[in-house]
Amino acid sequence: MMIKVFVDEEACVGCTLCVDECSTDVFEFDEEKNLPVVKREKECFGCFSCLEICPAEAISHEDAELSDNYYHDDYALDFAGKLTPGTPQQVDVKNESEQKKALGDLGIRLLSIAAVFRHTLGGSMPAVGTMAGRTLANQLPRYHEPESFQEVLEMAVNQFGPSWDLNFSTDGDQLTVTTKTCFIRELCSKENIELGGDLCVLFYNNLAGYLGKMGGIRLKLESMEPGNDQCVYRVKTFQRKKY
Amino acid sequence: MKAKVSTEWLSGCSGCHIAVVDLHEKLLNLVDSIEFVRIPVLMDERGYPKADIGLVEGAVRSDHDREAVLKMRESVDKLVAFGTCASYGGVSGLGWLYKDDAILSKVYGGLPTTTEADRPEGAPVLEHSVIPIDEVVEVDVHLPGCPPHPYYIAQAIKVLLGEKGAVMPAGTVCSQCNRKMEKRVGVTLKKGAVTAPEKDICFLSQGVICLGSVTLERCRAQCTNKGVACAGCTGPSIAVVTEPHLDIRNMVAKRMSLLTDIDETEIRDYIAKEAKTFYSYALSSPIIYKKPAVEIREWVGVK
Amino acid sequence: MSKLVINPVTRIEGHAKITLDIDDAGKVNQGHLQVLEIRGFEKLLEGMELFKMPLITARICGVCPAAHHMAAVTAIENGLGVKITDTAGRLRELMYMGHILHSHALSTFVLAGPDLLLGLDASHEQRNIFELLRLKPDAAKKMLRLRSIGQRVVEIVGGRGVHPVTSIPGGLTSAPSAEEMTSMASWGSEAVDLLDQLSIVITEALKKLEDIRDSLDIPFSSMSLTDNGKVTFFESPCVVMNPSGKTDPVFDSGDYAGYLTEHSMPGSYMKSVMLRDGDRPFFVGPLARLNVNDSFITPKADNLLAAYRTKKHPRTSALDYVEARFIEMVYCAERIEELSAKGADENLMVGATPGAGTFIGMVEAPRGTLIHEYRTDDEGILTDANLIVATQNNYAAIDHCITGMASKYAGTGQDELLMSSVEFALRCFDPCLACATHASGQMPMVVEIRENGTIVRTISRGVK
Repeated sequence: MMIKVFVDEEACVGCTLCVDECSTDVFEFDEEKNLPVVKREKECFGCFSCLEICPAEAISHEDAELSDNYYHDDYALDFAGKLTPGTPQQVDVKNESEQKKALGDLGIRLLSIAAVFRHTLGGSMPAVGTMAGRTLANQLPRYHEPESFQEVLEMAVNQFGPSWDLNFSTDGDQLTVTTKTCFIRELCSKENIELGGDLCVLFYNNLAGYLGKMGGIRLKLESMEPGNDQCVYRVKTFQRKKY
Repeated sequence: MKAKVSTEWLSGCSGCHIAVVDLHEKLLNLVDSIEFVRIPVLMDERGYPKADIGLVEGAVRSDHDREAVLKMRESVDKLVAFGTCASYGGVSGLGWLYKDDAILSKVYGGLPTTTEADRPEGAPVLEHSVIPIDEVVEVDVHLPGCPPHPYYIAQAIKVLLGEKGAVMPAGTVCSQCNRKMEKRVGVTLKKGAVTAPEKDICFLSQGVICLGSVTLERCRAQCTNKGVACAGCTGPSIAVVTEPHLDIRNMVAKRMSLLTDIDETEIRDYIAKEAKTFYSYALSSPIIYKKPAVEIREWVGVK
Repeated sequence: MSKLVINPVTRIEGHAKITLDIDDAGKVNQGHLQVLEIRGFEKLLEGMELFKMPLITARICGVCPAAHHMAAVTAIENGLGVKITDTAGRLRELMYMGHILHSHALSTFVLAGPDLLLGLDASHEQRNIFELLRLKPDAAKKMLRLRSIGQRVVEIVGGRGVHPVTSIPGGLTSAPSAEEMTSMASWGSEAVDLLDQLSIVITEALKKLEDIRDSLDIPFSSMSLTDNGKVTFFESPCVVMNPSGKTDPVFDSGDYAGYLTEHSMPGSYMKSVMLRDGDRPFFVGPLARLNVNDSFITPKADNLLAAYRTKKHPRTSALDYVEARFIEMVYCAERIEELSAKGADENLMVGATPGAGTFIGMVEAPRGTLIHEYRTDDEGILTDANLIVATQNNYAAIDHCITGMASKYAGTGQDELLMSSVEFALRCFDPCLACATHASGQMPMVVEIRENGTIVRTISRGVK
């Protein structure tokens, strides 16, 4: 289907940035009207560079999905709808089959990324997960620094839900992590992929990097028990900082 | 029958309420179709009467605020987050960066006119942060703006009353700005500036950071048309809200570097370094702080 | 001993409650205002760019943003040693006159108007501007029109009504058009007429309140800026005048911290400001301005001030805030007419560059002396900020008047009247709690009566 491109002439400020940005020369600039004109609409392949660069948000597209569904945050889309009541939204976040498709899409991409990591990094692959977890800990939106390791665990439950339904239990320096809902597991069972593979390793290391950074502790994985209903990770913890 | 409107004021400055009064004589037209049943600044209170539309100004800062916004939600049909503080935390939301203790130490003891260890005894406990109201209650409409232009206050009420022709447009401040975006060479980045010499030319073209292109327009572009670069007081544009990879910093840097010969990295670094200035109105909202491209705490240097 | 708490207090700017300590004999020992929220702007401003201060500090308050806007820009220009052009100075004053007119009209007519026109004993359901519009439409419409005139001037010159933006370090970013100047001049003269018509309404209303004059007496010093004895709202020496009319001391903005000190108050996030020398309380605002200064520079306001002076000098009853505010409104209206008639050219900006330093500015906000101080690093980024706000300066005086007013009504058993009167005492100061704690919110009213420290009775209204 051909994508249609529209310019809101009222809103346009005549900056010509869309003309420059478009890699397929869809626009030409009309100096007289001080407006970009859609000249070669059929060349548009929906990269949305013009939409992104337009300072006035004057450009819109029809018959093109803004971006893949998995990419969107329900909250943000809902929020945008409430900022502009009465204007129809481009993406229907409430559509369950769309969501399933999106999650599956994301899962496949993650699986291929994990495979690439394994091929290029070999034994260093888990470190990628750890690094990602630490970065996440730095960027985590939080109101205040956690005052105890227990609080770190509570934060993790909030942060990782609802993609992963996490449960933590501690006994001295032993930490047991149980995951129930997990979209990776769902995907693996659908695609007949064995559990406990690279993606599971990356997932665990991501979580461990996060907990370690947040809680000032070191974690050592002692056993990993993947299962069809839940996966259990048994971990030994070493304190690095005192609360 | 007249639609009933009820308002509440949480942690904010009352400016949004004043903006309602700033409809001037148009307020009297509005009062023809609506009836205010509760306005705390102007009327003695009578609890929370039932109303069709509820306007809540300010963010949630204390238990009192939390309780008040819950009561508003119960008593009104449609709840409007009224102003940037209610929608995003606003300037009050800067408190999100600090523990209470850091704020109180500064205010009681850290100033030239204070003495140390002089905290007020028995003052009420604060919430551990400043949060936008939609973290506490379901919001039906967001009407950000610091304050929203009276024109949009009237528009929002009309939209809620289902009046034909009333719209809440999705455009940015640029869509109402009269300045011309022009490509320039030999321009340097004017750090710390709030205005530029040429009145009819876009601030970005003149090397001054203006947040107009990443800010939703609920202001009629009053600042830029009167010579002051946009500070982003209405909060992020629809593109920034909906697209996780788009952010204030990278979008402004990209546009400015395309309009001038200033290096994109220089602009990005500068905006990150002065993040507290450029993100001051919405940083306590997940819309901003959850963005993968945003590292507010690191940029601001508050852990 | 018992304690009375009024919570919520409405029609003022901010969240607060009032407590009254009453002993067994029914005598009120102490009335106290408690402000319940804090935003902590001194901390929030740290790490921001200096030149953004006039824009961001305006956000402290929605009623008097122009005062913070002006204090900030004054502080920066003082620190940089920048002298702005005559045109920019004139237009800033024009905007500020609009601002004072808006704020005073809001206070006198919209917030306290129902008390004044309908009386303290009117039922609280009646005491609001909407009822006033219904009961006295003619006067109420004039009052609203006055506020609109003031705020429209701010909209035109300041670029926005709430949180104006055009006064930036070095001058003004934009001048009104010739047509706008003409309109503003005509609004100025319209405002003078409206005030003329409303003066009788205010005089009559105040007559009925004469019996509370003594209960509202504040035996404190007055503090205000002065331009050699003339009322000014802009950076000038600050004068303290004691109740017998003696001047002591006088200081410049740069030295404020040597003369003023802040204390915390129990149960409250608002700090009280005292004179360092002897920890003396004082009051600020219209009442103080008309005590410290001898004249205006406009004829009608000068006539009114001369008449006001004949009765007593210095005036020390908070009731006189209402009259003082009225006289200042006349001055603002006259100045709007004069300044707009002068027109404006495009000579608006001189150069200004942010840098390291200490930046202190002092202006008269509608509610009294307002001080901003910033310190910056080499790049012009704030390392420290201090804000002393008008209502903080009035804290001791507010508590004093609450005590005085409660003493008058505490033993009478008329709870409703007690609450209305105490609220009115507070409203005389036109307190702005959003400013005062750089905090926010509205003011509920509950009266807690305590005996030996425990609450024995609570009277409240509006709270469930």
